[in-house]
Order: sequence, then structure tokens, then C-alpha cells
Amino acid sequence: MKRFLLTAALFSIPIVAAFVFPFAFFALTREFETPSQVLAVQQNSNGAIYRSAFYDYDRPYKTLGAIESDPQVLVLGTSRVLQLHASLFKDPSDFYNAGRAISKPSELPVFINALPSNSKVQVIVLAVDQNFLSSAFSSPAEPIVQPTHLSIFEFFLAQGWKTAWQYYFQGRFSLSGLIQLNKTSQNIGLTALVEGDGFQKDGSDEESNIAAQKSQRSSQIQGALDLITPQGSGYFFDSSLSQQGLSYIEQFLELCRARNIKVIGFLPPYATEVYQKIDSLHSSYADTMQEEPVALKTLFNQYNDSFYDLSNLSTFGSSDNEMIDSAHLDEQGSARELQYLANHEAALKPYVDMTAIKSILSQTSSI
Amino acid sequence: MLFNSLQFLVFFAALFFAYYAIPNRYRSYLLLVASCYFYMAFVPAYILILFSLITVDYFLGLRIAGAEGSARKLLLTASIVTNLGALFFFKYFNFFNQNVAYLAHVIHWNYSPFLLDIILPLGLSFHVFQSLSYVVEVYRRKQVPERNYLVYALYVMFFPQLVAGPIERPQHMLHQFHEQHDFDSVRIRKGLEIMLWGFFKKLVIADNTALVVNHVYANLADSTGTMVLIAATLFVYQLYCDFSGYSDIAVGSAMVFGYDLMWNFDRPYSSRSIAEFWRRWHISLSTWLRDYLYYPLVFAKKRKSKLWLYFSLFITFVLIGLWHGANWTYVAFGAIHGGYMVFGQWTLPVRQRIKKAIGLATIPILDQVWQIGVTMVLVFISFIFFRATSLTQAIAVFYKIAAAPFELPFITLSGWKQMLKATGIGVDARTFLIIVLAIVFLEIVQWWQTRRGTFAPIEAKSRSVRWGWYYALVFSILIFGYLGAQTFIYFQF
Repeated sequence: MKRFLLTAALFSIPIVAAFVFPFAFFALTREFETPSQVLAVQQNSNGAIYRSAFYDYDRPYKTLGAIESDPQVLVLGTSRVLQLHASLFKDPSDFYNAGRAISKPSELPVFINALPSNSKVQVIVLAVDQNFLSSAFSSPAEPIVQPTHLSIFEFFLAQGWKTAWQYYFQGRFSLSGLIQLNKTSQNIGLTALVEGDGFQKDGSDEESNIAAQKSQRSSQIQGALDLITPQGSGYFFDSSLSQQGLSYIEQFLELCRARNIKVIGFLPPYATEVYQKIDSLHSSYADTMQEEPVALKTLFNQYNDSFYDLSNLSTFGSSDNEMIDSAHLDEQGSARELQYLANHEAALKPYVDMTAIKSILSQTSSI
Repeated sequence: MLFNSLQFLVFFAALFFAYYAIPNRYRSYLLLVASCYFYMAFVPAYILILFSLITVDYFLGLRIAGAEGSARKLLLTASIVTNLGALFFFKYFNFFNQNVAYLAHVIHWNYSPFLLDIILPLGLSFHVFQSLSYVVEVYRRKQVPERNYLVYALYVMFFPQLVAGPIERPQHMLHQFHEQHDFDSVRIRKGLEIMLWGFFKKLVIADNTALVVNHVYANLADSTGTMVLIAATLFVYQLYCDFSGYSDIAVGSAMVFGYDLMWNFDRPYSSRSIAEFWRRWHISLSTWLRDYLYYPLVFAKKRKSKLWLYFSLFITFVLIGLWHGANWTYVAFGAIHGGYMVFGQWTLPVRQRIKKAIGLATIPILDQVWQIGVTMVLVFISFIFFRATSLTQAIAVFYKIAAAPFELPFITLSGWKQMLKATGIGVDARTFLIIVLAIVFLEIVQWWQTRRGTFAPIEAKSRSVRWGWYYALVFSILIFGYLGAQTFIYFQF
């Protein structure tokens, strides 16, 4: 038996070796940490950000973040709201950005049900992406499952180790560089550690390379324009509004009303060219662009909530200079968007720091 | 616990060390405890159902052996009713009730069905059949009853074959639990080799193929005929690799602990007729139904007309279909195979005459290719029912596939590229290529096995060649396998 075990051990060496280095990468970048551990680190550190390069645990992480921070104002939506920071609010602890806690309408009711019944949330600022009411985004929601050490380790064995090698050979990081970064930075996750991008303590996004992204804005916008055809691609709009999607949003509004939460909904902006191209099309696909804000406004009003169509940047006085790409505002654009909503919404205004907004807006974007 | 999970790897390694570390006389009991743990990893409470059936059959087996005449028959009936009753309750009750309600609706009778909100205990059909096999064999006096309750429990619960077979016979299995199983490195290595091949089939072929099949079947309305044809064809391999992969892991892991399980598959896709296909596909089920249903049916009548033989054959296959699940698609699957078998036997003389007349019989290789081709097409058709969630969906699949010949010649290279995008067929071009190459590799290995026996040539080679083969399989699984712990198709039965 000893001989057999010795041979088996010898045989296993190359297999184990294939996992050892990726394991070291995961350990050095703290990719094995669970969302609750990440949040604990962020609570006790000054500016630690989190972003994994291997897996997408944003939904459980942001949901848990919203529960633990228990804010009075909650921003909810996809990546298109991530530049709304706590610094725009009088008391930063009143605010949490739960951007990317949802990616489709069916996840809205699941999210609100995940919040404790005694949560302090008074106002939810909800960005309803235009494509939320297309059939491609109408599927039912999966439950929110918090990853455990075991599930993260299983992911590592199934996929993570391969991705680590892939990134290594692509030159995204070096082992010595990681060891150095591990000593000097509190950031968690490979992307956060190496690229400096990730979620901050308030849930909003820290982007280290916005200037670089803006430099590629025109080509990125061109890519988006190519997708906009009279037939549509299902990405921006659909040929009709999904009733299923509307029903999920209605469920969400109903649950918010039961908790006395005021919901301020809006359609987030597109870059001007993108907006104009969709607007100029005359097809059933493009018609939904006109129908969508009307349907949503009617629905929100039924629940005494408000809804704004901010698809057109100029509605709130912004311009393409304040867009990172075809669909994401930068920090200034987001501040302007918040200013517009606060000026129109008495429930939101008391929380917003108008002076901070003015100060940010006075720093004119140079790009 | 899934074979393709981290949990199983830890369980198996721990059991291996513990098993060979303790004295021989305790090893069966350790296997029983391990099997209970293995089963309870799914739904713990269901072990009570399993132990209830084990207890009933254990005592009835003892009583049957000691009884004579009508009492003996009565005890056998009691066992059959208990086992099939449990199976009916958990597996078929809702199906039966829904169909009664449908019939009631047709005849305008007001009947609202009472539906049970229960989950089918994992592998119930397998262990019910294995238990019945024991009781019937004791009744037929071909098996002495097992006196040791724990050994009998292990016969039903032995973890490698607990949830998806092979459905073992007592004559083949029970005595093994009383034998000594010493550490045998050659045997263990062989067991691990078989397990490795099973993992390759499951993780590289079946689970990658499932991505295509599931995507296309979920988006049937938006899929073209070509996509549906590809998905339906890949399902043929998915099903085989999923189930035979499971069986290989079961046989291999039993072998590691010193036990022989029966082979459940024997390269079924090289069969030259449907009858041969069923001698090579899910062998433990087809032989079970042959021995305990078909033969008793045939011999139930003193005068055996051809019509009666055909009827018995057809009924057996319908029940094979129904065994798989409470859905009309499975009944259709069984009925189609029953139809194939009856039609095949009925037309055999005519077909042989035609073959002789056109000279096909004089070119054996062409004859063989023709026979295998026809068999595969027939199997392909039946598997559409097997995969479909309803008869309506099966018919929709046929409609879609009918369009494929009109699309295929007109698909351009960019059209193929478009189809391989995630929105088209569910996997990217790289994964699709992996699937195709893995299937080609499977066929080559199986052809090699046909000529030389299961891995026998590898056994005879030097260590470097053997290790090269093992490493090729291990790294293929790790790099190309879908390691998301997908469940096995046959677990639902």
C-alpha cells in the first residue's frame, strides 16, 4: 500500500503544480474572501476597494453591503449608476450605492425582500435601464446566494485556476508585483489590486483609468451605433414593451410602498449620438423609446412615486464630455444627474449636499 | 452527492484510506455507513424510505425462503406491492392523477386532481428494481436469503450504484459482501482508470454538449432547423456519455474497493439493429425487464402465438419507457422502441430477401455501415422524445429538423460563425470544436476498445505510456471539462 501511495503521490505532482501557482495568486489577491469578509475589511480600512478578476459576486456583495450599511438613501441599478458617490450627500453614512445589485427587473423584488423589515431606507433612486423592458431581460430571478469559502474554492478548482494562468500568460500581473502590492495595498481582488478599479466602501465605483476610457469614447460610441438598426438587436430596445418586465417593477414598487420607501425612478442617459440615432429611427423597435418612459411614469405615479426620462443628456444639462462611454456618466455627469433629481424631488433634496455638487461641477471636465 | 463534485473527491479519498486501514471484517460495515452518508447528502430524510423498503424486503425474503405453496406467493405479492406501491406513490401518483383529471374533463366530469407536493427520492426506480430482483430470486429459489440485515442493506445501498445503477442481481453481488477484499494495487489502478474515463465522458463530452442542447431546447422557437438538428444529434452523445460516464465511475469506484459491478454499456452506437442496441444499452435494466417481465409474460400463455410474443415485447418496451419517468414522452420513447422491435421481427424475412436481391449482403462492410446507420437514425428519432419536455415539444423539434435540409446548403461561413456566437447555439466556436474533437476521440477509443478490450493494451504498456495516457485524460478534464457539478440525467429516474 505504501508503494502504491508513493507512486500516486509522485503521479500527482504535475497536477498539484498546475494548481499551486494559481492558488498563490488567489491568496495574494485575497480572491478567496467572501463578500462579508470584504465588507468587514472595507469597514475597518481607509479606502480599500474590491473587484475580482475571476468571478462576478457583485449581486450578493452589493445586497449584503446594502443590508450592513443600512442607509437612508439607496441608489439601485446597473453599472450605469456607479459614479454616484457618498461625498455628494450631507451625511455620507446616509447613502449606499447598490449599483450592480440588480441586472434585470425580476431581481428588484428579490433585492427589496432581502433587506431587513426594520431597514432605515427612506428613498430609493432607481435607474431603470432602457433594455429592462425588452424580452431578453424578462427572465425570472435566481435567489441571492452568498458565496462561502467552499463555493469560492470550488469555483477556483473548476475555473479560477485556468483563468489565473490565462491572465498570467497575458501579462496582466507578475508574481513579484503581486507580492509587493499585497504588502502595500489593502485592496481586495486582482482587478482592484493591479488596476485600481473597484467598489468603494459606499458601493460606488473607483475608476483609476477614466481618462483612458474617455480617450476611446468615440470608437466605443461607434460600436454602439452599429448595433442600432431599425430591427434592433435587443440590446437597446425591443419591438414592444415586456409586460413581464413591467410586472416585476410593479411588484418592486408595491413592496417599497409597504415599507414606506419613496422610489425615484429614471431612465439613465445615453451619449448624444446614440440617443439621436435611436430617436431618428422610425420602426416598432424605436417606438418603444417613446412608449417606455410613458409606461414607466404611469406605473410609478400609481404608487405615488416619481419617474424621469433622462435618456437625453441635455434634459439635466449634461453633455458628452461627462460621459465615460456611450452609456456611463462620469463623476461630474452623475453629480449633475443627482442635482436634477434632488431639485425635482423634495424627498431626496434634504439628503443631498448641493454645495459638494456645485464644487464638483465647477471643476470643468477637460476631456 | 454528485460523483463530479469536490465533496465526492474528498469523500472517496477519505473512504479509501479508512477502508484499507481497518481490518477486513469491518469493511462492509464501513461501506454501509459511507453509503448512508453518500445518500443523505441529497435529501437526508429520504433514507427512511429506503430503510423501510430494505427492512420489508429483508424480512419478506427470510419468510419466503421458509414458506411453501400459496403463502410463498402471498409473501412475494406483498413485497411486489410494497415496492411498486412506493414507486407509484412517489413517481407516478401525480402523473396518474393529472391524466385522470384530463380524461374527466374530456367526458365533462367535474374532477379536480389531488396532487402531492413531494420530490422523488433519488434513484428510487433503481433500488426498487434491485430489491425486487432479490425477492424474486429468493422466491424462485435461485438465491438463499441473506441473514445479515446489514449486508442486505449494503446490497441495496452500495454507494457506487445506489442512485443510478447498474441494477445488480443478488447472485452477482451478495456473496461479494462476505468475501475478503485485500489491497490489490493492480485492481485499484484499473478501477481508477475506469473512473477517469467515466469522468472524461461526463465532464468533457456530456456537460459541454449539454450547454448546446439545453440552450437550443430552451430557445426552440428562435432556433433554426440546423441548430435543432445539431442539438438533437449532440443529445445522442450527451445522453450516452452522461449515463455511461456515470456507470464507468460506479464500476471503477466499486473496483477500487474490491467489488465487481456489471457493465451497463457495451458501445451501443455500433449496434446493427435495435435488438442489439438494447443488448448494449443500459444492460442492467433491459436484462432485468427481460428476466422479470418479458419472459414471465411470454411463458404466461401455454400457446404462444406470434401476436402474443409481439404484444409481450411491446408492453415490455412501453414499461421501459415509463420506468424512466412519469411523462408521456417517456411512454412514447418506449412505445417507439417496442414498435421498432415488433416491426423488426415481423419484417425480418422480407428485409433479408430484399438485401439478397440487391446484393447488399455480399458486401459485408457496406452492409454493416448501412445497418449501423439505420439503427442510429432510429435511435436518434426516439431520443427526441426522450429529451423533449412534452409531446408537443417533440413534434416541434421534428418540424424544425425537417427544415434543416433546406437550410444547410445555404449557410455561409459567416452564417456558421454567427450561429456559434453565444446567442445562437449556446457555446462559442472554441467549445464547439472541443465537443466535436472529444466525440471523435471517444469514437476512436471505443473502436480501440472493441478490438483490444477495455484499456487492456494500456495495462500492458510501460509506466511512461500509461502515465502519458492518464495525464492526457486528467488535463483534458481539467482544461476542457465543464466543472460546474452538473447533475447526471439518470439521477432523476
